[in-house]
Amino acid sequence: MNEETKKEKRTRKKGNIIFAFIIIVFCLMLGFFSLAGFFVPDREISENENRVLASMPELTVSGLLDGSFMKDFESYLTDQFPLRDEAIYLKSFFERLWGKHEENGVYIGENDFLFDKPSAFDSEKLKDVIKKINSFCKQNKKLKSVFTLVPNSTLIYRENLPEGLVPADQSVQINKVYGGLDKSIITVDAVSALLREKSYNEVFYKTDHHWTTRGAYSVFVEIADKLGLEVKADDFEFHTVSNDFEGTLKSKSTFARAKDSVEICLPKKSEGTYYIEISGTAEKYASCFFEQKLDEKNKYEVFLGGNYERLTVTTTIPEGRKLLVIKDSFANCLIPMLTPYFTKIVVLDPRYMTESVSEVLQEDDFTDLLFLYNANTFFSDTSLKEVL
Amino acid sequence: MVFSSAAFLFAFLPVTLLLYCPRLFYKNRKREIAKKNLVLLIASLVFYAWGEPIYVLLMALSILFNYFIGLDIEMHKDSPKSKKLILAFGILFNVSALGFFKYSGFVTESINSLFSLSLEFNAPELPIGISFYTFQIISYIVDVYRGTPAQKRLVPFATYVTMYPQLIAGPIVQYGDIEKQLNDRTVTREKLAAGILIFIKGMGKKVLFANTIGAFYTEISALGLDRISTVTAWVGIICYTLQIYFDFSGYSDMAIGLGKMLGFDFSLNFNLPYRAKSITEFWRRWHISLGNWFRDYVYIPLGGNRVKPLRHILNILIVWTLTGLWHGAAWNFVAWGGLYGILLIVEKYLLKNVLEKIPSFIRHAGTMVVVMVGWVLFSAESFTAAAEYIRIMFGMGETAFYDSTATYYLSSAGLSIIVMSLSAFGFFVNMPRVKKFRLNVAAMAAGYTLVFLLCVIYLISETYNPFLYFRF
Repeated sequence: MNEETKKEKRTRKKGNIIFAFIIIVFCLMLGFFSLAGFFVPDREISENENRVLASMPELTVSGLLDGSFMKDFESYLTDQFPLRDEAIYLKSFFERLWGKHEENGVYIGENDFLFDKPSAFDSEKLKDVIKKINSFCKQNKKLKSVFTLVPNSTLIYRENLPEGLVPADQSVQINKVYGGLDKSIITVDAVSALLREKSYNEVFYKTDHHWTTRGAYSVFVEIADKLGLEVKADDFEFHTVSNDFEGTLKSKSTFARAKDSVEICLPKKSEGTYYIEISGTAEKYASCFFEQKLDEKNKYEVFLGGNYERLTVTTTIPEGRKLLVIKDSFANCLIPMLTPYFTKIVVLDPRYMTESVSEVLQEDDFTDLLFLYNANTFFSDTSLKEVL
Repeated sequence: MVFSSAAFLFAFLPVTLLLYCPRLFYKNRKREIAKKNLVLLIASLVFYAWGEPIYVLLMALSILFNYFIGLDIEMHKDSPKSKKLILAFGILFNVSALGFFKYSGFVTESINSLFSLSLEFNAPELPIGISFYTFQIISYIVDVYRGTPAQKRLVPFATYVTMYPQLIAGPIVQYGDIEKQLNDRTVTREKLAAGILIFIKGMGKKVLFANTIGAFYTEISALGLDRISTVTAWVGIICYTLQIYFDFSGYSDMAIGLGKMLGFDFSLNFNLPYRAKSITEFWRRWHISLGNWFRDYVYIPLGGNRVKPLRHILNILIVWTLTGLWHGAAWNFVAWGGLYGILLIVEKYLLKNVLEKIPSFIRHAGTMVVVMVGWVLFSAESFTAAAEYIRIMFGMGETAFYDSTATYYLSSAGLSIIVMSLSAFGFFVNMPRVKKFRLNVAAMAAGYTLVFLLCVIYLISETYNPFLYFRF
């Protein structure tokens, strides 16, 4: 009897020790993460993720009533969480442990290739966009319109995708879009050009979703042909400006090893010198290349310095053709190749535009129109429809 | 707010626990419980308003109304007729509110397609958790009707309805089960510790398992039915089967754990359902609190099984159609519920003596296949899509048996499927334990701490964090 109670007493004591231990450890963990946030200063941007982090939202009555304050507060907490970068790194590690072939929406391919997940192809949604483009080009018949849809690396380098992964065929999708366009619009076969060029040079970066300058050049030759520009084989020369480019795909996938080189493409004899103007700033720049961007993380911004609502290139070519470009970021490394052929080039990025394309058209007597998009943006972005 | 978010874990939870747990200045036990109920009520209202700043008023209205209904029923307890009338009025009010907010869009759509009309109706947005709290309220007024004393004070009653651990995704707590705890409960060291462990286990299920495996199903179903081979279809639905179990049972565990931390004992909501060897057994193990609710408040009032066989069959069909409809306002949920109703009738009347003779692993496999086919119906966007998916699963579709996409998903998801299936079958429940006490404690502490930290890591780096059971 006595023996029993002693035993019971011991188990009870043991139990109490465990319970206290569990409670203390849990409270310490909750306490640590709750309070750590107060002591770690907020960061404005994340170098790693290449984006602006959420900041503490302003407390307003309307924000409380429609729930936007709560949503913003939650993303603020998550974005400013102490050790966030380390957490993302560790998470990727565990994802790989499970055997996944992707991290944070990036496929980990063979031979150090990283791939952006292709956008879904929604033919109903695209019908509207195509309709808009057709009616826009019909209204502006005097413009020579060239339309270029650039495939993504998932198509061009599909042999390097994780084994067994077969994304929907982008070349079929691109041809569907081309098929829907009005006959007066000239289309450019970027897929074949890139596949040809691929056997000589790398046409996509391994660590970034953009194409390389060589890839862009191979398609530029096709575009020039359609526009009727005279381009000879040795009109341009290439210079490597960086060997340690780690693109956005690498930022998302923490275990990639590769680095890329960035080349720029210069016209050999610059027939017309030029300056560029960027909407929102008063400055004029004498070059399409922004060297200081090479010291930053996103070295692709060396081309034009980034994306803007409108960028205007004015050359010294007198009385020449005037080109309007409607584009996404893929065009940024191709624009410099066009400068020797036009008196003026206006580059519009619909994602940032506040006015309509027609308004811009009326400002000058444009002769040519170039649509240049990569397939992923074209399939998923809706801003083009809004501005046409 | 969801439990697996930084805002809940590192802002809401510490603050509410701090306000709730210490005895503060109260020596008097009754006043201590009163204070705890009040803290819990305010916390729950904040919790609900965090996600539904407007609909919190609807909930408050519903609480007030039913508080008076409860008192009214008790006042007329000696006159069965008026008591019944008040109950009927109360149920009508609650069911109408649920019907309006959850089913009005579905009903208009069905009428439109049935009579090829084009009635226009802007269906209201579904208030989070309305299906759960409406059922708890109905449980309250029926229990009072049946003789449980009505709650005289508003705060404990409101606490019962709004209690944040189970407010938005269950388990559904019946009033009779919790009435005593509302008026008297203690937070012991043991309960608090057990609650913490159950909560961490649930969070691990949700964040580490359900989200990981669910991503595969999302991808596979986005491929389009013409690109899914038979093997891919099976991989997809296995992933969904695991996702929905870990998602929902993880959420229930978190709720039960939080309840324990607050001094409540909720009963088990999931008891390793994928171990079931028949459909009847499956539903005894899956979402137990919902099954109990339908048993106590629909099936038994209809007469249960103490009626003629035909009436019994009808009762089962009614209960299961309603169960299906409760899960979502769409025809595929009705079909899903109806399917289970029919299967249960078949098991009860046709296979009663046959089932026992079949080897248990075949019964187990058969049950799993039926359950997975059920999940196809449950998860599909439309009837036709579900039918086509099922055709592909059984080799009657237009696509190949095996293709490279299947290779990709087998190699990506294979390990997760194996580990999570073992876990879902209860393989890790009876893990061998080390004899030495200290080693045991150390291993357990290390394990739970690791799970918690991993969850935090996943939460702050993951944008993919939706709860499946939010269509309620």
